[in-house]
Amino acid sequence: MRALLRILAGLMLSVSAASLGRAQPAIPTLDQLYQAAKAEGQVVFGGAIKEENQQKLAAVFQQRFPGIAIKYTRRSTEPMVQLVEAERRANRVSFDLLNLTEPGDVVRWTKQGFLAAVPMPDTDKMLPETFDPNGYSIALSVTPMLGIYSTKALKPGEPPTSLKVLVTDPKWKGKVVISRPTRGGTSSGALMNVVNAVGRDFIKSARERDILLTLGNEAAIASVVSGERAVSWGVSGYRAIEAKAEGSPIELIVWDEGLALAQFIGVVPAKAPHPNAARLLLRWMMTPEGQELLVKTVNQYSARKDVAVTPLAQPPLSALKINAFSNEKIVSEGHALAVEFDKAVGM
Amino acid sequence: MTALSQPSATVPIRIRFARGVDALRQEWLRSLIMIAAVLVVGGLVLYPLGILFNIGLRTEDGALTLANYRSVLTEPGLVSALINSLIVSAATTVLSLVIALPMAWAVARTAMPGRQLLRVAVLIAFVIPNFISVIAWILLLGPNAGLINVFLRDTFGIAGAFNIYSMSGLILVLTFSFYPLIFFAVTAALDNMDPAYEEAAQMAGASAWRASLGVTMPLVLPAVLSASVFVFLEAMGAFGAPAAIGHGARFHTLTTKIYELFSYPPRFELAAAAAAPIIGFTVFGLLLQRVVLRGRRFTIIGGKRGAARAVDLGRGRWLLSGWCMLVVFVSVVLPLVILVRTSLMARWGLAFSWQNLTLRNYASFASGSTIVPTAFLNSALISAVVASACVVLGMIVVWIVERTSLPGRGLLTFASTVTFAFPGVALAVGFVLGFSAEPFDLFGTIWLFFIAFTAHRFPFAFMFLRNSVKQLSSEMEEAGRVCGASWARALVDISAPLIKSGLLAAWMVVFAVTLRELSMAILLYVPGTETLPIAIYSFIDNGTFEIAAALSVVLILLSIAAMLALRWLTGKAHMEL
Repeated sequence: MRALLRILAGLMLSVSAASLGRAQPAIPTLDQLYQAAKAEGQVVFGGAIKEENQQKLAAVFQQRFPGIAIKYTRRSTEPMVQLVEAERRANRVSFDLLNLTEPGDVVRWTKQGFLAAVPMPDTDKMLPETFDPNGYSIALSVTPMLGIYSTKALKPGEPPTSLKVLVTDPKWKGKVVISRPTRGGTSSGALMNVVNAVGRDFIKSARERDILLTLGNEAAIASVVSGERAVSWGVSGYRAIEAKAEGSPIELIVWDEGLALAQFIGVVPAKAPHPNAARLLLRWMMTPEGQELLVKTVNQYSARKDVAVTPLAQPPLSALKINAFSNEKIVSEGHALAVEFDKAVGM
Repeated sequence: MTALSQPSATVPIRIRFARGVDALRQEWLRSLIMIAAVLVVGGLVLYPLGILFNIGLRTEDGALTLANYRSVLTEPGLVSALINSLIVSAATTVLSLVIALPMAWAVARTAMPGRQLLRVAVLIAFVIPNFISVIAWILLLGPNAGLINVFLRDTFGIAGAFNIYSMSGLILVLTFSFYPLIFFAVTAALDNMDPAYEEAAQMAGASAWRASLGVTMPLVLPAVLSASVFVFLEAMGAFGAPAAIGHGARFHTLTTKIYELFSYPPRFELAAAAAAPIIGFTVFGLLLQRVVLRGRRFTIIGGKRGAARAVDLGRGRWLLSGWCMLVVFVSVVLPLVILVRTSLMARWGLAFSWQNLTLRNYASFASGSTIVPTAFLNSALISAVVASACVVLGMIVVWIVERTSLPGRGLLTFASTVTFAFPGVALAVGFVLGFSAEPFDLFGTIWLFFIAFTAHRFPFAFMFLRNSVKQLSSEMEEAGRVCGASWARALVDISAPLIKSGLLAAWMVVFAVTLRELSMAILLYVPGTETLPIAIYSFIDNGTFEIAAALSVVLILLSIAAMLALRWLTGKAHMEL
């Protein structure tokens, strides 16, 4: 009997070891991936990066890896996810690599087995909470959810610096605009940041605060640029930085209580038509070379700690107080907060 | 109406079917064309809708269930969204009637100055994309920074006079977008109408006013009613404006709620089920039309059509003229000025000054790195093909519905109108699912745009053409047939010229609504098949409102150019849209 148990235990150990071996495969080099990708010839990439910026990235990539074309579709996250979901139902996968801003979709797809693991080297050099330890997703870049205010509506010295003041002082009633927090989206991250700073009770008074809700970050920024509302508690930082650099009448606010971080997450579908080319592009974008180029072209921060360059000469992330929320936390808590917020404001 | 055209509800279905079969036997070519048209319309519309309906009947695991349809009643916010949609749509319809009816009558029946200009102005109001005009209105009527509110505050001390972020704000935006539908339908009906009826009334002693109100208006009732159903359903299906304003005003409409069900996380099953009430409203609209118009005679186009005598309004012409100018100023000039103003600014949030003026936004279209040139060509091609397909197909289908006793005309009418108010995003999902695998693997091609847009916009052509055919006496066509003309020849050479105005109106309206179509395109496009609304949306999404505004101006100019080209091609003496 004991002999039998020893044999069974041995078998179980072997199976466990084999499983572990599968969970942590050897990470191929870029050159190995390139050789495999050559036969595929192209990578179908979809995301919210502007066309012209993507073309700059593609030019460098194709110089580095001749023979691998990038077929890019610019689509913001919401319609992109709708398309991917519709395609899934038709048993079709068009995209090899996706760049999304909504953690909720990434977490869901990971659970559903829709994504392929792309083992990544140098994870010790990545910002915390920006990559999945199993390799199913990784932030290609990040941006703080910055506060902004209208320089047309507020004079220097007037803008708030504290989230607590913004959501409790009657002075700011009817002055705030935000992108409506969605279930598990970046705006939920910004809402979590406010809850983190002032407590959950403030949501109950959200309706009285007469907060203007918009569909998406860009509309919230536009509302501040036009002077319709004076302040926003959190918009996609890179767009605010760009708008300010282009001369829009806004200024950035780094809240005393800290900022949430939005991630631009890269994922490869498990049934991607060109899986090696997708892995190659994703891996290359995560190299210091790819990250520096990304920062310079799309004005987002690098997800790597060892890349010093910052967007449009902004201070490094290390100089800002960042409240890092994991994707899972944004999905679970952010979802609940978004629902509560919707109910409170009467949506 | 002739006996042939009378859909005899009292005749037993067995006999009606036998008549239909006889009709099929008698003229095989006509039958072939009709069967092909029925199959095309049925396939175009019922196939994707069937896919969606099937999704609504499934659990996420694919098992059959009615739970999604039950959930429509219990899902938080869905019922209130439906009520909001009904309120907004009803109010938009009533206001559109109030605005458009006097304008249409003024253009078609009076000597009011500037009538041709008015037709063009109303067309511009119609072609301004909804998702663009709403931005213009937010910039005009935003409670704090809207230009009109700022003017009233700075000049008269009136703060926050208008608030675009409200249900009334949404009704206003939708009304100014959709009243042209009533205007087009009614002017086309009046243009088509034989003025002899009014002249007879006047000879019998009725004043011009009385002849218009007592004779003309009742005769164009089908056009008024179907256009009202148009507007109601179009308002029900609107998405861009409700999304922008509804969020600010904190309410959902049915379409924004359905869109939300397709997002974060997508709940396709419930979204598909939630779209079902819209089909119900479409059917209700059709039934309403049928009940109201039952037994009434509207054949007012004969072969002796002449120009209507202009009604002398006396001093009333200034009142009517003032009304028309006010409507044009508010619905066309104001949003257009905002668009042009924004398109000429280097940075839109800054002051409108010489330093901030530029033509760079227009020049940027020529850049090789933008999708604008491709989008421009695609939009022109898709809109022209879809408008032409809808009109040709519409003519055949309307003939079947109005001029034959073939069985299944009710179902054909349903198929021809059901997509009218259907949310574009939901319909697009049906097309992605239905055309992503063999034998219909068209996803990623421009062919899918042709098919999907034709399906979505066919109801416009159907309803416009149906109005025209309802007015047309069949005597001329029958005379042609007696003289030996084939069905097709009688249709093309006799009937079509008599309803030329309706045909052109249908083509132009379909062209215009296709040109501005965004909600479907956003799901269907791939690199190389982008359209102008996609390009505009992308610029808005990037925060470059100035370029989006410039491109919107180009889109409007393209619409006007298409209208002028059509006028030139058809050799018309005046525009009849």
